Amino acid sequence: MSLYAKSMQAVVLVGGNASRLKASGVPVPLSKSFMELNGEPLLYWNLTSLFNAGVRNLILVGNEVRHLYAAKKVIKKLPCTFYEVIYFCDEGSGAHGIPYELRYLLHETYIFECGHGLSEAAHYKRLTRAKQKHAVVFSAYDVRSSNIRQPVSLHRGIVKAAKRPGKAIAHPIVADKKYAESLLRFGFKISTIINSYAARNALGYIKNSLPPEYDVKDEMATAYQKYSAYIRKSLLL
Amino acid sequence: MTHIVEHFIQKDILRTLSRKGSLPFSALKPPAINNNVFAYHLKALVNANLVIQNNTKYSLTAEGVKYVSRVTRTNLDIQPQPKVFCFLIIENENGEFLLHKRHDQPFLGKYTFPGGALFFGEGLSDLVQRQLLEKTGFMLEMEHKGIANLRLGETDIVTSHTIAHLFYGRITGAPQPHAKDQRFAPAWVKVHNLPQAALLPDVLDILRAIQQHENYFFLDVHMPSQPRKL
Repeated sequence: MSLYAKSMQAVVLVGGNASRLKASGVPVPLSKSFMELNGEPLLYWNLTSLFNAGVRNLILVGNEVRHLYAAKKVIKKLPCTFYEVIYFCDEGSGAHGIPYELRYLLHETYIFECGHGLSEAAHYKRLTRAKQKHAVVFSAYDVRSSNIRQPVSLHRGIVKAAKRPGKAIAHPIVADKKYAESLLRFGFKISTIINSYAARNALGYIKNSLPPEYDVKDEMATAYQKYSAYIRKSLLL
Repeated sequence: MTHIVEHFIQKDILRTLSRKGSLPFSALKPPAINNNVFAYHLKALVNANLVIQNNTKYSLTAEGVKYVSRVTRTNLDIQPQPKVFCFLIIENENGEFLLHKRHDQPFLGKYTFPGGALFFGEGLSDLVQRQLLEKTGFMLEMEHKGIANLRLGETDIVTSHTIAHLFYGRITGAPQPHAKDQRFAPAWVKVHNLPQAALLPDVLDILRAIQQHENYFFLDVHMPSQPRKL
């Protein structure tokens, strides 16, 4: 039980193998979270932005100890201090099931984010403000045709798979303990989870001005350009 | 449990040894961790008597095995778990039950059955004998009537979660109990005469189950929203 249960909590994924990115010829050090941008790992900028949004409690999740070890080095370099940092080594059972695995460590409401994505502090705040009881709020993005993720159409609260490029919803999300506990019932399938929440009108989404996490080289180039501009504008001291 | 392992490298050592048995330093050390950093954490576990070195291999001590059996499998965290209790439900010839008033939270000032928590490694019959002596001073034959999963709270949040073994006994006359600690001193109470608000929410459910079931039973109480009548 956290001593700082009233401050904002974020669960940040720092593990993974970046297998799709490596397959497209990009050298990845440990995982995508530790790829450098503007002289620091992406995780560094991600955590700085979360701190600026008011997050003071962190759970860093990696599927190998070396991810957590590298993340701890990043934490030490940060210009800010979090109240509490919990390191969680998961079994590599998939990103979507993580909140279920660590549900006993969660605050009532938390931000669920990937360490290799970057969002504006204001976006995290907007997501948190939009969170209603028993609902979950995703980030929505404009999707290009080269994106390998399944685009969705968002209409009157119902999320459906779309043939043409439209919107996509992804991390960061703001969820609650009930969401974490319900993941087992949904078989940890993100499409089932999204459809169930959407059918109950319990799925919100807020458009994110920065691109979502990336899987392939083209996406990465676009994302890095925009991330870099945001870092120069808002995060560099 | 005196030592709590918090560092993720130490947790990884315990997790790996609990799955592989015994390993040499080179196989135990995860990649990309400096030798000196890893050696520091391994030594901390050896000093805490959780890991032992035999020749060139490391393995868990009995304390280490005890530790990993009590924490979560994935991240080796100490997860909140319900307490295991025994409740002594003792009735006298006048149809009164032995109850004591709680001296602390949760349910401060409310009446409940005498009883106590099972220690790690303690037998259930030893617990009953210990609680009888500590809380009542009686030497009494108690019957294991059933088990109850009690999730209670005064609001919509569960503040007390207990797995209670329910032991029932009848006593001739109405002898005065003698508790070793006066904070837990019980008294004979006519439960019907007490307002329901003065009782713990599970007391009436337990008494009703004891009276209704002749055989061993299981009871699940989850914060009854409505007060129940016996």
